[in-house]
Amino acid sequence: MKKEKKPSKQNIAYMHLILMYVAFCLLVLLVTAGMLSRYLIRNNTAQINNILSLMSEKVNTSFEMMTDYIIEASDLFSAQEEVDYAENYRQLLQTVPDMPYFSAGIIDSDGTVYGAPGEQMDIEKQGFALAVQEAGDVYISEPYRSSVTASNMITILAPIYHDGESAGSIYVTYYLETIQNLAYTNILSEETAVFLMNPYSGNFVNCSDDGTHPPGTWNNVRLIKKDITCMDGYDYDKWLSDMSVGSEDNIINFRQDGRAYTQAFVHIHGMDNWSLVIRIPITELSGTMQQFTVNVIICATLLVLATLLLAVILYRREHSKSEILKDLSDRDPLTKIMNRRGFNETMTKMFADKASIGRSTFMFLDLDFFKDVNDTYGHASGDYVLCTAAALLEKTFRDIGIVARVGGDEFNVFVTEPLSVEDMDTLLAGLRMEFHDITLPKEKEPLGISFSAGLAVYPQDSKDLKKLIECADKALYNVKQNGRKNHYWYADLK
Amino acid sequence: MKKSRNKQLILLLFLIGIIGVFSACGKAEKKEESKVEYYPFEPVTEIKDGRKDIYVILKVLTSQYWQDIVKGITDAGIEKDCNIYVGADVGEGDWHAQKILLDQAVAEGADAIVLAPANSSTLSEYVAEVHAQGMPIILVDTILNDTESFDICYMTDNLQAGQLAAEEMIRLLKESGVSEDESISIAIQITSSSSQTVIDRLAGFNQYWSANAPENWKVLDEVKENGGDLEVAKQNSIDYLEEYPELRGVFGCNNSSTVGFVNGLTETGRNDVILVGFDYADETAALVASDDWTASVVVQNQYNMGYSGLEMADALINGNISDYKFIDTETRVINHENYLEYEQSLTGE
Repeated sequence: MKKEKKPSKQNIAYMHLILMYVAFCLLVLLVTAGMLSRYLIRNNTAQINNILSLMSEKVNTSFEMMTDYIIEASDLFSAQEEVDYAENYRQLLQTVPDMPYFSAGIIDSDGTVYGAPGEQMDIEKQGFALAVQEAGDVYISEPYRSSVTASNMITILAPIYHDGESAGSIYVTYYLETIQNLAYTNILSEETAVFLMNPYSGNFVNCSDDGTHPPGTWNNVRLIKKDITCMDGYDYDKWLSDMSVGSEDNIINFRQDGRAYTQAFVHIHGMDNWSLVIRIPITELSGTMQQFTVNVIICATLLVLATLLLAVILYRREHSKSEILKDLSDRDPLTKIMNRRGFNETMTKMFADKASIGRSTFMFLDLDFFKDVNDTYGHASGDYVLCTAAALLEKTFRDIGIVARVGGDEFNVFVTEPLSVEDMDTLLAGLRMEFHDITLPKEKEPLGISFSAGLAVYPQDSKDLKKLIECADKALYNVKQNGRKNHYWYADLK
Repeated sequence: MKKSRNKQLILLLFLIGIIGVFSACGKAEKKEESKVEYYPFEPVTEIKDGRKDIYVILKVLTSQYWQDIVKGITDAGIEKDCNIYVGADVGEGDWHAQKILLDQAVAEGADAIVLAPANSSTLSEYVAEVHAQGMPIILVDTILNDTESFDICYMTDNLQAGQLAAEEMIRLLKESGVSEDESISIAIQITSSSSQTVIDRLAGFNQYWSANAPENWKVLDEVKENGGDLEVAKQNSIDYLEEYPELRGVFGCNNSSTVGFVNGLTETGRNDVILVGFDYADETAALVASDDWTASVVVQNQYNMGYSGLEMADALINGNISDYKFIDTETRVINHENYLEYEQSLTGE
């Protein structure tokens, strides 16, 4: 039988208390983390939106500078008395400010291009001459793949007038990446994505992102909408609609592919139907704050763990004390096996639930003539014999029952395994030989210790504990009456 | 006591687990190496000593599209008196195979390389290395995005092609009597939203449509994908017709999407719906030719890609310099009015 100690009510209450404490701590931790996270997101979004507004302003101002230059040049050429395109082209190249443009040139009134070799084809294919005439003002082209560079470009054009009549136009072409540079800031430089977006067609052209798509890559909102979840009550269609009417409400927060973004559009003068869109991941700015949150949570969790550990140590120390006290009251100090008090308590508990007891054997066991050992060899040797006998009994019955020293040389054994009479007889025969071989230290000859035992079987002999003990006692008495060194079964006395 | 210890251990593990969840970061990235198989270089012209050796690396050789490119290359090669060798990867998109072929072409002493890149990005680095050695490199069909280290690219401007498709759709709708005040829808089907060719065509279509179509003629927000599976493409087509009763036009951004629409329309008998698509597949051609249906397709000029590419390779070897780096080989619309002429041009009659 495996001896399993059930935790006491006090222990269970203690464990419940610890669990409640841990649950409470976790709850507080989660609520705090949630509140902190919400606060950070709200604060972060506001910060990002501010940055986005500043970026938008910066881009808009840069575009204005780009268009202002070309307007000034067209005004200058328009003011000349004679139109000399070749000379104007030469002047244009000399006066173009130090800007990262690719090329500049002039389209005359017949559509002839004064510019870099090969540009005539693009200007004709894209219909720039007509577009700028129709605009009557500065015109910024859609992104297109240049025949000259094979890269994606945009072209800014401004009309030239002479005597009130259209006299061609000036153009400057830029690589699409240039627009990304306009939105460049030292912070968030890697994370900022810049697009040109047309709210009517839903098309957007990548100027720069995290490297996933090269500049000039076209896409359409229809293909990405399914992956977008708007946040904070924003609506993507409404945002596109706001873009088409140039609303000041230009920001949207959304989640795409597991990341949160905020993006804003900026209307560019001269670029009809297209807006510049700047996108920043919300999480990037708050990376440090998020790390801070994680650290706080880790520290708080460690604190809870430390408290828990302390509670466990205190509990174990308390438990250990009570174990010692219990041992003192339930254990025989000499042989370290259970004493009468412990045995009685255990038996009483066991018999309180008789349904859990199967066929069992109760045994009274007395060492024969133990007084002679004390008288002959002294009390120390007597103690040695008692300890050895107790150890042999423990070894024999530890796994199938309980053993106790209930008097000077008296032992009780309750075998809970349903052993047959023959099996028990075999066990006792072996035990008898081992008792016989008990030899004192420094002695060569065994003492020839014997024992007498009386056995009663539950439930055959009695179902009542007290009567069962009486049955075993009666059997022992009979053994003693008949010369000891033997064991009797109560059933055999009948 | 043992049980109690177990409980404590579980509790500790649980709390450590919580810390782990909060502090967990980093994702494992998995890469797969593809098996490298390719068509080795084979001469497509007579090989003579003393002539220029031009090596051509294509994506595949089996489809009609790529055979047309090979024909253009071969015709120009014969005309320019060049030795032409053609190799290709087996599965379209296997850039590993193309890298091996690039190395072979250099090792065998190519005077110029004509390449149809299997991937717009991954091959850039290798092509730049070869080009830096002074090797003329002419791209056909697909451009490299991350480098300008090539001499010229001949390909379809798919954005323009999409615009041409939208222009044709508007023309056909107006001709079929759809009023500008009528609220109608147009559905678009694509192979995959990861194909830049398809995205460009879709973007071009929407660009032209938003600028030129009547306000009540809308392109549906939903874009169905078929992954190149004709059965899926047909089912997508049927689903569109059932879900959107106001549908009056469908646009297939590539061959499988177009054929899917053809099969869906013919199975449901919906000849009131106009089809505009890409490529002249047999099923599509039958619909274009039919008097009962209204259908048009945009076709590419792949023969010209090959022919011009080889012609330019010869010119570059001769020391000529091109003012251009990108040439749109252009597309054209084939419809009920001109399909016979187109078919005659295909058969060379």
